[in-house]
Amino acid sequence: MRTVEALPRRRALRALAAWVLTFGLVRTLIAQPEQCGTVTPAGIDHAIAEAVGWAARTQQPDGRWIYRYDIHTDSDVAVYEFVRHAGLMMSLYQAASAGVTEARQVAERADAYAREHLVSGPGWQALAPLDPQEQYDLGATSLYLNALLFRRELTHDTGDDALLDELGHFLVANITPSGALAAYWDPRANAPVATSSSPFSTGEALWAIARLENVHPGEWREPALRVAHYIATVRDEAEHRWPDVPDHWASHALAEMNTWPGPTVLDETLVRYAHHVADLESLEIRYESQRTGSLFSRLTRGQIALGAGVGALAEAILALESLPSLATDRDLHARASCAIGLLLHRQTTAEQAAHMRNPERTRGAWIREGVTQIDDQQHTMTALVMMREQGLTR
Amino acid sequence: MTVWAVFVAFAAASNPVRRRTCLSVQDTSSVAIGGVLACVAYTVIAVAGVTVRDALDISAPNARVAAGLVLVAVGLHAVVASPPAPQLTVTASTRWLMPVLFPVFLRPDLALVALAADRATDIASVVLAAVVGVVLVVTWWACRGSSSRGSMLERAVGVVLGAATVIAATRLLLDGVFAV
Repeated sequence: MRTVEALPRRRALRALAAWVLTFGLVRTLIAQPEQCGTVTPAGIDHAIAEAVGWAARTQQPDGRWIYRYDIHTDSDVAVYEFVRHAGLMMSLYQAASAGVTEARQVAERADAYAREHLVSGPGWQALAPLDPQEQYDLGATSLYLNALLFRRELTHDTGDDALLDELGHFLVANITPSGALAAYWDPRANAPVATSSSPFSTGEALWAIARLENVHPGEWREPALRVAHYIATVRDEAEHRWPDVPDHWASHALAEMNTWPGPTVLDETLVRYAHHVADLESLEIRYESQRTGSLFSRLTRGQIALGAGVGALAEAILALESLPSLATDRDLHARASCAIGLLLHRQTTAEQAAHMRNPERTRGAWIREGVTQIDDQQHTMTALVMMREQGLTR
Repeated sequence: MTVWAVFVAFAAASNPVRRRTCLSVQDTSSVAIGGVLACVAYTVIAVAGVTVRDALDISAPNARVAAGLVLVAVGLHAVVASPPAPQLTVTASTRWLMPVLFPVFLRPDLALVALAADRATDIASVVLAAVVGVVLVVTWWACRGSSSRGSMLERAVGVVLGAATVIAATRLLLDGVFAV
């Protein structure tokens, strides 16, 4: 038998290289630092105030906002969609409810503009698009109804209650027996576009009618449960959505349904779905927190997500946290806190805005690749308000 | 982490039929010392896992993803690559360190699994699985020695263990992906 006094150097080096290479590659490519930043109540308050300030400064006299703003050309892309108009309006009412009083006036101006575009049908009202040739986007009516529900919470004004029900009737008219939602309504045919679907409209409508059930209990419970089970069981497959939709709107809806009076309606199916969404949102936050915007980060992780995207992730987690089976999960709250930290870090400061062409239109916004869109401020504002209300620690 | 995946990862990635020829010493005592030290090291890594991960800003799920991906590569390598040829027998007094502890018993892929352990639930699994992995390697080495080339049957078992490593790695990967 051939023996050797010491391990051959080549073999020892190979062993060492295996360790260095494994941990080096893992650190460099797979497990990059998850950088979440620091989250403080004062930081959140400041970020909300700055976002509300952006909404106030970029609102036009008619109540609309700059829709998609290019910071390099200091110009709007000249499109406008009510779904995001209603979305930002909703977030502003949420901010107003959380004590940011300036938000209310901005939201009221947006509401006045939206009311000019309401159309009626038998027993229903809906938000019609600016272009009369277009079909009605269900998402716009859903978020508008939600905005008015937040307004009702804020003002205790019941003067719009009939309108709330009629907006709800429009949504319900678009729900099929299976629980699927037609994403568009054809005004010429006076019927839902049966073949249309959207990854977000179903959850948006679900959240709206789930909240309506808490205001006017009775008729909204059954359709809401039908849609919730459709989303939880067959939506992604039936609508050919892969990977599964990490549905922040459905998360809000489940949180709302959890507050319905009486025995819980969140059965095993819905709870399992809530956990699945929590996993998906968490995965995205863990991935997003590894993005820094540097060249290396872009090459290995891609460009940072939109403010709207990160805000939606945080919204979903914060909504799901209110469910009893997830309420004590400290990791879940850590993910929400991480997403909020990213938002605080990425918001355009006054100092940064001062170096841009139009500081008034950039300060307080979440800008990616030189562009910000109103929903970047919408989702982030909602997430920040939710974090403020739910508290930083669990 | 899924308990069975931790056990299969340690047992299969340790791959006794591939490690046998690398364990190129003759005395049982150095193998025993190296094996025990490896188990102690995996325990220390598992216990310190949370602290190390926090210091490196790595969440437990992402550590599992990393461990899973590395183990997939290790498993695939075991499936496609021939077993290592017998090595020169080492007689140095530090042979318990090299080649016993490094590179046979204490391995970076399994260290990553230990690092991904959750303090509350996974440490015991990691410790027991490490013991199982070490015992399997030692047993096979004691039966077959380190100087003979592997038989066809041994090669086939090595491939099966490689495939089992890939399966366990995939489970760990999914544990990391679908986690809060």
